[in-house]
Amino acid sequence: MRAVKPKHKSGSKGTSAEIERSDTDRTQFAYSIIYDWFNQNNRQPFEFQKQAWHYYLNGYNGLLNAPTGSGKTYALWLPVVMEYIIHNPDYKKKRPNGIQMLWITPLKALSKDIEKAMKDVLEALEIPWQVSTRTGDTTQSTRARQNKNLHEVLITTPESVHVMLSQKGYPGLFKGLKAVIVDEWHELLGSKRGVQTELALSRLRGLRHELKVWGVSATIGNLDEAMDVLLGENKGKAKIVRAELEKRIEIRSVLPDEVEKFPWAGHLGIRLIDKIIPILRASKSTLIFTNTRSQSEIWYRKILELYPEFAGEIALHHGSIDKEMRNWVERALHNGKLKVVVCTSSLDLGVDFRPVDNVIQIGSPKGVARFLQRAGRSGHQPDAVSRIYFVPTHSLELVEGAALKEAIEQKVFEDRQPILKPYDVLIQYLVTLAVSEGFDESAVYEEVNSTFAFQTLRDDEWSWIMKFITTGGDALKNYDEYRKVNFEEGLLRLSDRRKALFHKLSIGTIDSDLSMNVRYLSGGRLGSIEEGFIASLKTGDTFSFAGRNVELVSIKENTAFVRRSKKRSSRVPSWAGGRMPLSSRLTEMLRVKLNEALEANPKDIEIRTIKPLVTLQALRSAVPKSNELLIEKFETDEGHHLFVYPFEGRLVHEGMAAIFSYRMSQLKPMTFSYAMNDYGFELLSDTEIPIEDAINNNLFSDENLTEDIYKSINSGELAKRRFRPIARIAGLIFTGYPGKYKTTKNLQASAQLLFEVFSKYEPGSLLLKQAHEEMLQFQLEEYRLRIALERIRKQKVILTHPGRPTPFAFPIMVDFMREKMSSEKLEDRVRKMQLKYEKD
Amino acid sequence: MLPYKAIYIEKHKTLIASDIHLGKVGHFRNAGIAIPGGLAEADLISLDKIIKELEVNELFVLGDMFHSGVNYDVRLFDAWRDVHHSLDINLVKGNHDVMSDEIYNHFEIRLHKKYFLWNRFLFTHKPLDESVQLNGCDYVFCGHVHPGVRLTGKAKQTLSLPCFHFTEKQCILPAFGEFTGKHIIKPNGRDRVFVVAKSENEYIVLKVD
Repeated sequence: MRAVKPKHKSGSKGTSAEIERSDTDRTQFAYSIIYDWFNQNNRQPFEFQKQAWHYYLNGYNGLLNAPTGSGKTYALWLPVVMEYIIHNPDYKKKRPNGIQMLWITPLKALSKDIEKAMKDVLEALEIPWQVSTRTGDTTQSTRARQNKNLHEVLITTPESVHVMLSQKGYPGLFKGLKAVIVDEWHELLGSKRGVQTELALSRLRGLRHELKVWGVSATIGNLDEAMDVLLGENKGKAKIVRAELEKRIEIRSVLPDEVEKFPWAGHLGIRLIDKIIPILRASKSTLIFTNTRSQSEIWYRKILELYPEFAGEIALHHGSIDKEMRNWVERALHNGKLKVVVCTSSLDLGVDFRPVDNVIQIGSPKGVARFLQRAGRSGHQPDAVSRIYFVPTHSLELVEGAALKEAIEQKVFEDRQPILKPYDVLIQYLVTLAVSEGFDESAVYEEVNSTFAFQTLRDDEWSWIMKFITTGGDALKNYDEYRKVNFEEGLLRLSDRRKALFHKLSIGTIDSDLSMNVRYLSGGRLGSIEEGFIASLKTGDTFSFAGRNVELVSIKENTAFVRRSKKRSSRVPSWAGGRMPLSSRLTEMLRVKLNEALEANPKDIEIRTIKPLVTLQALRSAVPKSNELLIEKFETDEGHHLFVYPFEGRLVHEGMAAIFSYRMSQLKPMTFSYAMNDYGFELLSDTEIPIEDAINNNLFSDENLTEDIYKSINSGELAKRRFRPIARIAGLIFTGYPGKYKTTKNLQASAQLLFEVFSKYEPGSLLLKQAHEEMLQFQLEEYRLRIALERIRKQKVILTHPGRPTPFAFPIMVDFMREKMSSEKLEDRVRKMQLKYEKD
Repeated sequence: MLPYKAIYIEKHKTLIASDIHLGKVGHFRNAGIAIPGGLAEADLISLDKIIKELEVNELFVLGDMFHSGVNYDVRLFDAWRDVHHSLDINLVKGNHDVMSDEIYNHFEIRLHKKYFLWNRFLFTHKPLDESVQLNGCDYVFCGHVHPGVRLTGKAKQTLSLPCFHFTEKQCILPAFGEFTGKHIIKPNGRDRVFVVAKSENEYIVLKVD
């Protein structure tokens, strides 16, 4: 690799041999303008910025690997400006350029900062370009203007690009487009928004063959693949540019004084609160990250309860709190007015908060990359150290502290798996094109096929999708009135204005969950809560939400009205989801660290602290080596327990528990309940568990694995849950006009009902297939499960009979999540089940 | 009670059903929502089967027989009506029954605006307030709610099924139509609830308590 080496003295020239000679002078001129600007500000471009400029100006597409706040904007924004200067020596003259660059960001909040950075450059260089932003929040009138005429730079989201593709005349709008930059690509990759981005790029490239595409990504395990996904089949000359900025990170675990007296589980880390307070006091601003929204509510309350001195300087931030309130918290944090913010992943991304000098992570961050990202939210001053404290929520979690340190030192990062063939996103996209200009089937097929996500799309799948959007599925009767998309003059078009409007309002892939708004009686929104939680309350009950104690007054339609309450309440809403599995990168490291605890002198302080507990585990049962699988078996009043420790993360354990239950119930009729955490799982039964028999009868086999998964897990239920967002994205659920709730009520059908009717009347629907595949892939991590079973088959099984719970078993036992496995038929199930009257 | 989410009074060969929502599939499809087309005929096929099997003379529909305006599915009904031309149909108008009276006339459906009485039974669309005094009738049959119950078993197993909900004064029928949702009810201790469940391709009615 050869980077540009601009001979650079103040105000002089840069050079690049690869650019044609006739252009050399102009290129040097452009470089000199940029260098002058850097000099005027007493700055030097970073090496990676110079590399990015070089490759960009030489016609490369690519991916820039750089963290937030590293100057990545300049790396990819300046070459676009330079190219303009090269082609327009009189660049200071105003002319109707139309759009030159599209900057796609996953987060609306980021657009303001980027816009400002760009405007500063334009102003300093006296380039008469205009920069504008378009997101879901952009006003109707601004959008209308943007639909006619775009400024030179548009900062926007993937959804907004699709909305623009649904406007008549979009090809004209983009006719001068030179570059698309996709910011935070690692965030989009692995989500349906990423696929949306891929599809939008395929269309824009169809319009502009010479379009340059660059992504920006934080460090992930599969950067090469990330670039391939972004660029698709027609990637041309492509290059990964790495910022190689060493950010110093300091990781400290908060240790209990005596591990023997520290509860083994079930306290959410609160026991260590006294040790955290000095950290809070000593720093300007601290972010406390918790893993779930309810945990953040609990922590917020506990701190205020025990240390009221923080009142007024502490705030709560999570995804269900009203947007206005969140914005307020973010602003206050930015201005250094808050000492502590308790938050969830809601603050993983977004603008930098300079005052933050410490980050505290409560409980396992579940992955190396996430931990690093959170650490990076502190220490933004130049050369500052990012400091993160790890607070274990149970004793064994301390091992994770050591594992995280080791993983970061060895630069072990998780991959982001790209999504393949999400039919729902494709359906939405094709209708989008039909709404605006109409599309030519074979041309668009080619474009779609060139994306990474749809490279394996088969002809039969394509024709199913075409049928879905034209005749509404298997056209048993082509004389009904479906006719959404029609052939008109060789193009597929959607001309019906009502249907087009429905579609435009439904563009997007972000799932808005079924939740109820929470409002004060006196007005003012607090946020949203899941319906199930509200249903469990009576009017007059108090609960804690958004850090306040409130009393439920009444429920009207989609809103729960509350008022402030003085009563103390321990009820905290719970939200579904949020239970991420430990990444396989981290579980690997965990196994290594656990064994170090048995060595004479472990190097990590965490491991030395945990040593007595691991020793107890070894005494009572065993500590498995990396080539061993530990299984513990014992009996209590509760019944017969079986504990298995594969260390594969909770989703894999859930699947494994279900499969083991099923396979053992085939040997002898029995019913299990099960529980799991990231280290292992428990099976509980009222009769003796025939584990020895089962092991000899291919318990760990991956033969018939998928079938056994289907038989063992309430797969219908899980797939049904997956179906909701799919149905919405594919246009089967119309979420309505904003603010006009009633008018579309007789077009509402629940995803559950849709799932049932599709299963019965169109079992071959690709959308059902997608729901099942997503379930296997994301809900059960089938792929990891297979690998885990393969590993287990090579491991030596250590079966112990400890007589009572071991330190490994304890955290799983207290885990209240108990899934039940039963092989009874539905009729029997109904008879056996109790209809619980939820009495008023 | 029939496992088809309807009630049959054998003595009078009378079938009582509620909330069929004919035309709902077409209504969705017209709006560009690709509900499987085959579903449009499903309810008519079920009705057909019941009527032939039990030799039904008379059909009472407790409202929401049709989901909205005239569409493909409603024309299917027209054809169906030709086959079952001897069937007597009484309909209490529900909130969804919005087509003009002429169309009901054309289908030879006897329309009742709010209720009708028959053999000391009162038939309405919306359930009555439980505190109401029944005069001149013994029991009420109604629909509208699409009742269903959520059954919970040990350890978080749940299942929700459509049900017949019998209170002291009235029976709320499940929605007959296949393309209809459920509203989860919370019965009180004196009520009787029967769920309609599917077991090995056979529908069954089970009492739950």
